[in-house]
Amino acid sequence: MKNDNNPEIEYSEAFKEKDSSYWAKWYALLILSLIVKIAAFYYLTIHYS
Amino acid sequence: MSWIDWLVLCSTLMAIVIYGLYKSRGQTDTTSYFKGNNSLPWYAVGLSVMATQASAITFLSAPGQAYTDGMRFIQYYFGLPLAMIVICAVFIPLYHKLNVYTAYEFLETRFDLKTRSLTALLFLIQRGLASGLTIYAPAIILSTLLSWDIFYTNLAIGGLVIVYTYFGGSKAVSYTQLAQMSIILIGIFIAAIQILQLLPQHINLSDAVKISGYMGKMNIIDTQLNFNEKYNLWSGILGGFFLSLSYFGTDQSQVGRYISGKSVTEIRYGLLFNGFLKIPMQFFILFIGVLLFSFYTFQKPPIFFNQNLENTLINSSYSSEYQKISQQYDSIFEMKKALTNVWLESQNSDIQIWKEISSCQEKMDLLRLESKSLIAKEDKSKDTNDINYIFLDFVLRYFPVGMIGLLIAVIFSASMSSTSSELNALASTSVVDIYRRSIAKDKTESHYLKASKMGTLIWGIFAISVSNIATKMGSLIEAVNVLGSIFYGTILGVFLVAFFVKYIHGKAVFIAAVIAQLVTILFFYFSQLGFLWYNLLAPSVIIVVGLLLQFIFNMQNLKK
Repeated sequence: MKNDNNPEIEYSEAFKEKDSSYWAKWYALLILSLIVKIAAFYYLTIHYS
Repeated sequence: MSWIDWLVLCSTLMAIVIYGLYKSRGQTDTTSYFKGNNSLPWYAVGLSVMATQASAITFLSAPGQAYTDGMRFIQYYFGLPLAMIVICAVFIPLYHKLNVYTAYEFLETRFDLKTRSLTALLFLIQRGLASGLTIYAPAIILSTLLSWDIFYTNLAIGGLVIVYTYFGGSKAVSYTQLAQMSIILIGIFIAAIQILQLLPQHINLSDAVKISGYMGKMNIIDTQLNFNEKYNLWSGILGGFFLSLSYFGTDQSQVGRYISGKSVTEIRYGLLFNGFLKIPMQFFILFIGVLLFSFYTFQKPPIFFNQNLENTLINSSYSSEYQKISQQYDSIFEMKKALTNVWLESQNSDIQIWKEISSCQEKMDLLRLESKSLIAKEDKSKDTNDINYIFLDFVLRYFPVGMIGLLIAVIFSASMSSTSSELNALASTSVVDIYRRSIAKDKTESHYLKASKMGTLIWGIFAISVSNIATKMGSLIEAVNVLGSIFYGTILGVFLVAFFVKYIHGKAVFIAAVIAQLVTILFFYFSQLGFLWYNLLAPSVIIVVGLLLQFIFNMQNLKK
């Protein structure tokens, strides 16, 4: 939403919103990679013991 | 070591020091000295954080640990990526917003001066002593295997670090770490390739992993919940999470690394980089130990990887007993080697032969234990644990000229990278949290810069002194390591309350922190609880006691 009195507000809020969802994707990717690593390690443990 | 190895070692180390000094020239104030003018890109932040954590003992000990105990140590790192997320989401924006030099500075804004000073002091005690061990631990191994004088080895590692940390501050630390981490990664990659090449022609990677794996070395995941077991999936995720949160979020040697980043975005990228790469890197280092085990299935492993221990027995009254053990060991090894070849020819299907191979391995392990007990009889003060010597002994025996120098440079680099972060953090905490805040207020920037450099020098000399005292007092090492794990939980608890429990104020958290510290010490003395759980115990005590005390204080205020 545009703020006619202060355009800066719109910019900063839009940036903030985008910012948090952007990082949320990175965090989700990091958790996913941890799960994949643990699953791969579990497979190796079972396969080679 | 040949002159070529010396040349490789000295030129690598000198190049790193000169590069660090060149990149960090022109320090004018404490902002540039402690925060490098907030100029670091994300990859420098990430590598600097990784280099700080990866001390020399990581590279010396981890392959040996996998060789003897298997790869289960990797579970220790499972909580790290989760901690990175919390630090990126909660800690970084606050540290950046408040523009802090140290993590403890934030605590005065949130609580009060005494809480800031308490945590800063706990950090200085713990990290000050640990910095000596960061130098001592690789120095004792290098000096034993290469017959170097321990005093000069400590002095060489500590002295080089002091030079560039004193002159270049945080920026020099970060840029040297960039170079050091590159050398480390190249070194371990070459080491793995070298081991693979040294395996017999008919053994491929899959065979090598099978041989080690069937001997229990690929025990990467343990899903059983056992509170007294140091490494399992649950202690790794939960305990490891709190340990990593404490180490990366509240230990100034790590906080000091990433607050030098250009922006919140660059810092977050750097920490995510660490979160993605740390486990694969550690897996790779441990995997070297697994390959080493396969290598020593076809090449006779020494009974003692620390040659000095063998020399002690040969020159003792137990020499003839040791000779008998040695002969038995040789013949069992030859039998095991022959059986393994037969087993491989049978396409790994002959279970009976595998049982015989396992039995041979057990006998060899038993003979190693017998030899160690002979040493204990001869000289009780001798440390017979040679896990840390396994990898370096292998390098010295089987690596070609030139590469030995490179691998020794890797060990030096790892030790220097951790020590430099520690010295920089000790100096910044001493100057910013204690000296500038409580002793000498309102002085000029140049005065504080001089004090910061002096702080670096004093802590450097202190670290070298501790490393030399540790040489004479074996038990001190264990004491200092325990000290570290005992303090971490309390510091983390104070920070967790600061970030997440707004209800609790300064007075309540301070008393709760003192109580939590005492409880942790009591648990250490009177329980069998694995040390990773201390990082969960102390914060829990601080939160519960803090809430209770705050409630009481609020009630008292209402009555008044």
